[in-house]
Amino acid sequence: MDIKRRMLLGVIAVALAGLATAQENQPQQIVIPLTRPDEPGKLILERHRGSISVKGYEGTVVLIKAFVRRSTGTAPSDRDAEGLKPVSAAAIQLDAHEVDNVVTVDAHSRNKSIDLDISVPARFALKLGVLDDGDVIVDGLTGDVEVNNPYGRVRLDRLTGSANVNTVDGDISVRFLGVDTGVPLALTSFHGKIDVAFPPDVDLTVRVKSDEGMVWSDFDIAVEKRRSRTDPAGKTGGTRVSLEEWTTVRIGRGGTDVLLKSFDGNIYIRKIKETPSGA
Amino acid sequence: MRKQKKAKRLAEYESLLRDVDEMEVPEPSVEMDQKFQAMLEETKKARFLEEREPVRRHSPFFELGPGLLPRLAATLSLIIVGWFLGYQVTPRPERARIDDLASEVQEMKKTVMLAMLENSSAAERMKAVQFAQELAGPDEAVLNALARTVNDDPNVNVRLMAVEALALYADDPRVREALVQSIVRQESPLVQLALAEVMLALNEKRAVEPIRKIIASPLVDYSVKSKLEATVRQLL
Repeated sequence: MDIKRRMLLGVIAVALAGLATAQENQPQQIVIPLTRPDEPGKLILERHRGSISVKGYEGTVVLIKAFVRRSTGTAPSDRDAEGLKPVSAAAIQLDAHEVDNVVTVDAHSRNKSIDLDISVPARFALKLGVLDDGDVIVDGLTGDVEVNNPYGRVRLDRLTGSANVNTVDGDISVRFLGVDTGVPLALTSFHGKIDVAFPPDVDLTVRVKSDEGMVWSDFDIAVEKRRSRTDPAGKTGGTRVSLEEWTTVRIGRGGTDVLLKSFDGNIYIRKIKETPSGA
Repeated sequence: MRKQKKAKRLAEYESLLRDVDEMEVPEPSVEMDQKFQAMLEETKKARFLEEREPVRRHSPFFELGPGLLPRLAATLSLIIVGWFLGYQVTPRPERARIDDLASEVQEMKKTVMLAMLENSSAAERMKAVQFAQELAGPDEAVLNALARTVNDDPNVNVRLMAVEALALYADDPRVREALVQSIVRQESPLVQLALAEVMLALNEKRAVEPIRKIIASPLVDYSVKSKLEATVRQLL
């Protein structure tokens, strides 16, 4: 019977917007209620083209606003349209469905990037993937946040859960208000900078490596001379695999595992000095 | 016949009694009496002492003499030797059960780890990869799962960690093979370079072909390309 109920709630919201509005930036908006409003949930949004901004709030529903990106150039791409004003805007197709507190969103338009402005209950976890042409901004969540945005930037603020971020070109900036012990954090980029801030009293074990960049920190750091990661079977006389060495540092008493890696971006590990005002 | 015997016995008794009557009985002297009293006193004394002495003799703790320590030491060593022997002689089945339990725990850890690798949360899968590195002597199932993760995990960071975890077991030819095979499947520059590093450390010449394929790809990152070209030069 529970299954039936879930199925019923399964496809909750589908918003189709082919509205002929002359105003390009009129947002499409949908509201998605949850099966169990008082419990943590998860938002999944992958292969998106455009920016995503997610805010944690006190409510119990997921609220999504979708904007078509304003064309940056003034010249219309269609030569035949020269001298004409657009009558119909690009259509946004915004789909969302919820199954057992997991909300899966898909927003696309044939040829435009779509920027999303999303509010979720603060206890949500996120799994966000951007294909192109957008940044990811997240604020005030206690769940685990997973972001993959190869070409854009990622900024996560006021997190208390874990973060798992990968970019290729974009810079990563993450500010933690607390760290959920035991859940590993991983922030990696190829060309981007990684800037991560923790409260002063955290206990972390950080593995950090920038092949061609520098690593900086204002924490009191104990560098652990870790075994080079060689053949743990040991003394087999066989092959020794030694990868280029990571630096392992202990912050506080050590604890939650943190992996920070960039190929040629610098890495900054900051201590949050003032107590966050919450603003 | 019987009468005759009886008469003979009677005659014998008669002569015996006559002999006894004729024996001279000495008079008890005063001396004898005194001696007896003295002996009696002595015996009484001795009994008295005997009754008191056990309290002292059988309680070594009142007697802090030099004999105490050796005796304690002997007792202790007996206890230890006994314990040791007992331990050695513990029936085999129980120890075998402990071994069984240990391997069961190992087995359970493995099952948990394999299940975690299938979890939808990237954080859980990262934990699983860490876990796999801590397993003593991972078996084929674990190594296969790690190889699958390197190839197919949707999260770059999980793949990156899985490459490192697998590289620890590159002694195994199957692991090597899996690592070589997965080179062409990687699109993330971080993972591409991590694999190239492993190949270089292993001096694995079979990696040259797949690495060249990546270099030839129009999508390859410039830094990756120059790093990979250097790797190929070093391998040849």
